Amino acid sequence: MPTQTKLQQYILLPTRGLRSTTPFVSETTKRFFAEKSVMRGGPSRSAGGDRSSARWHEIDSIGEDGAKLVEMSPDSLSALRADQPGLKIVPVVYFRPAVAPRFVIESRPKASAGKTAVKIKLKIVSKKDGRPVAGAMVVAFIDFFNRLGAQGLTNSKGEVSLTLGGASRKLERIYIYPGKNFWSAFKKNLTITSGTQLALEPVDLVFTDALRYFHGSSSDQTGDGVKIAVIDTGIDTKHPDLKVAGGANTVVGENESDFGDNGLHHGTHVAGIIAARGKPPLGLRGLAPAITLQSYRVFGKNRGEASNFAIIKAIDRAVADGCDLINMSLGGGRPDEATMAAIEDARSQGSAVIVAAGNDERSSVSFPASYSLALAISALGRKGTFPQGTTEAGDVAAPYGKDKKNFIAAFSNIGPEIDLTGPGVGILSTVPGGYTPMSGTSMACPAVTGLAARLLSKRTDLLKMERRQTRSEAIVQAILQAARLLGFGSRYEGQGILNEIG
Amino acid sequence: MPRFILRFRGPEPEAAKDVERIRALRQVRVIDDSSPRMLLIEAPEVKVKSLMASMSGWIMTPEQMVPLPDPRPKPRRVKKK
Repeated sequence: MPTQTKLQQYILLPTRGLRSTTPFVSETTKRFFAEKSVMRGGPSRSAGGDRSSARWHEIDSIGEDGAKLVEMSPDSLSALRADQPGLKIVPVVYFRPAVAPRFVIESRPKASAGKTAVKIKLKIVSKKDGRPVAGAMVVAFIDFFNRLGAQGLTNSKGEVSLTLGGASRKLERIYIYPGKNFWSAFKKNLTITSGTQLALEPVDLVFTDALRYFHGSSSDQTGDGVKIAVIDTGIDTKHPDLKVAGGANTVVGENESDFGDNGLHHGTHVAGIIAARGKPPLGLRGLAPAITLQSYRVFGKNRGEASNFAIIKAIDRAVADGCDLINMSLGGGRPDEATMAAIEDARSQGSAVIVAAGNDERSSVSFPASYSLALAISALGRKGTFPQGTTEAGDVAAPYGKDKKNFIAAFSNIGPEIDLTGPGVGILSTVPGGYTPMSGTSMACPAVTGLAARLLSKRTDLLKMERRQTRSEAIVQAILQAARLLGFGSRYEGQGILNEIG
Repeated sequence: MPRFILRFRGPEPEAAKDVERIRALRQVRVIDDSSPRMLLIEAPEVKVKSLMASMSGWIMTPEQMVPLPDPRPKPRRVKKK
């Protein structure tokens, strides 16, 4: 079991400033800071009544209403975040002298050069009727550990040529990612030569993937009354299963009203998980089809990177447009003050921000998911919810949950900042012109957002609250309290998966 | 020239006065001012730092690019034999 007992130091702060007695701080947080039961160096303290397991030890404090230096376990950190959503919890950082790095071996002697490059031509076809599959990305590794290999896109004949240093090569691994309407493929220890043919399984829209396994189907009214922002690559406004109510393009120099798909399909897939309105077998249905869906495009046309400025501007716009939940299936930049300030401002105006933890194979949670005021989401998978021989098989990794078919995806980032987990392996959703499975914390994040919308739709008391800090705290608390643990440990799942609601 | 995000944390009307000051500065180009409390500017870092020191309620951060998340493994090239 991955549970850790090692204590770490954190600073507890109100969401704004250093003291709890400022006008921006909610009553709950003020009460938390006002409790005087803690003596410096005294016994452990707990929060949240019967449900909570949060325990910490206060080391120091800036006055009675000020920031507190505490020590606690990762499990307690997760529980405290659930009990006190108005708290900013910052890990203590220690600076070290900048000593020069040691030398390491980075390359080995090369073999003789000069041979002509030999290409191997592979053909990718449909398992159903043998037709060629165009536009599939083929990634072939002869040495997976060192990521040594070649990749290419199939042409209209379903063919791709790979330079692998010989006319016949044994591949340690091969991954095939089709653009749409097929499942991917994954094989180990395969010897290929020119003419080798590989077949892909077509997508069946009645298939029970991990999203549908964990969260079932939804009615036409599910999510009614909730407004959600998808900050991403834009959403296809012409897809028959999607209804985009509005939004903005915040990329500097582009048309502000062009918030449609930028050509990379990521945002359209994310949006479908939350709000697709189709009916299988002709279409797909998301978790909360009746929400009001807003698209904020922060990635430029056909560009795979977004500026933090565009992201911050999108957060501001989403808040100004009255979005209750903000979905950000993105991250990986350096932590920056302005993004943190934008999330703080969103929270102070009543909106909750849900962010993907990142896909760096068990690395620490990426920014901005790592920021205390965002909800950080890891990716969960389940064996049997994707066809055999697909790339999703490569995502299976320990730890397994209480139900041994459940696992936290091998690509998912983890750490004490994780708040919740959601299905993110082999998730079927919308892309321009069709449907495709995708995997990532990017898919887990909208799964949580969609479930949170189901919850909010039934909690009109929360939706009606004045749009300020107390509203976002109540929303975050309600979301976290609706979760149940799956047995992975808090560094992997935080408070767990959201329960089926409605 | 590096680009920086300037964000005001105080009440919006107070930001407007500072924005006029920023606009008037030499070597500073305002790229985007469409948000009520935020600017994207292009300027030498030293200039921006001295500007920040003279105005209260503003924070500054360099513009940076965030990659589109992708969990798919990627190869490096095969070494020539």
